[in-house]
Amino acid sequence: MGSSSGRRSWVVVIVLILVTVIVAAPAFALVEKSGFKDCGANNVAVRSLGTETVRHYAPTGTQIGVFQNHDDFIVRNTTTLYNSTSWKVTSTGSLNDSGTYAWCWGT
Amino acid sequence: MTQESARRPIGVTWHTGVALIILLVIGGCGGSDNASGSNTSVVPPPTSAGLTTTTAVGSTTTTLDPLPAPITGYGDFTGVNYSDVDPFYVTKLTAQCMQDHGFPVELIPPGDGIDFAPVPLDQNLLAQRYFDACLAGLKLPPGRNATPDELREKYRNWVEVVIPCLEGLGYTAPELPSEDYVAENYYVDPYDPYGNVPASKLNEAYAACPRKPSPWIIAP
Repeated sequence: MGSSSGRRSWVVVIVLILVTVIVAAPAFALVEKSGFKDCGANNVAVRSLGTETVRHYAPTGTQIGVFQNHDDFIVRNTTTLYNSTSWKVTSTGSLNDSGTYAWCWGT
Repeated sequence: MTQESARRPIGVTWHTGVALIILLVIGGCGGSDNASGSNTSVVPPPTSAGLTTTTAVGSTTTTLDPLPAPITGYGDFTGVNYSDVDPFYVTKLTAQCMQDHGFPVELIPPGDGIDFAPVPLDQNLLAQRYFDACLAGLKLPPGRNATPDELREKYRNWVEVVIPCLEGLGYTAPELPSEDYVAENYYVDPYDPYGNVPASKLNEAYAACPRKPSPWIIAP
């Protein structure tokens, strides 16, 4: 009897854990957009429109800037000294797809 | 064999099944986002960045460095409501933490961004991990979207403060949707009052016409 009661307690605990994981998972989601940009004689810049903690990478793997956007969608631009490079933007919140891209700057 | 011990194999199977379910649920959680496109995705957060390769006689073993433990001593946001967190202050504390640990990062005006360019390229991955450790040490509340009421407050701030300020700098803000529309759709169709400011002038505009007042804003 006591074992059955103990098992019920375990069920309750595990269900609570499952609910917590399911509810909390989106908060830890990391949104990402990446690509490759060739600017010829000009240099590559990365632009994002996102919320929360936004990171810019170029070339891939090398972080060049990190921004705290909180709960606002904010445009961020970072410039690189590469003519052509892969790039990546991540956010712990949201990224607006059309507002996040690489572009060419410089002469 | 007692009755209790006879049950044990069943118990182990039951626990194993539950553990598998938990793993499946965790592995399957990903959700979706408003952003779309072939190169946009929701991925699990990185858990490691650096690789250490050690060579033993006759074998090579590659192991991941453990993440630095959260670095404390730069502030503690425990119990602070997310809406009250000042992103400029968080950035200042994080940058200070990284500089104290040997990474020459710089604040990006108006002060809510950190520039990693001064960090030597071969230390960039390590710097990223220290950034995570410094941020974790602040014990910030988890990020979340603004509530509809908070979005209405944001809207009123745009109308009463930000847009007139931008107009004072000579910029016209993009056409503003209704307050109800913003309250319901901001995270699927974001409005950006700075949307007509040229990229080269954005940081100046952010400093001159801040989205939210902060004593930590720095001039470009």
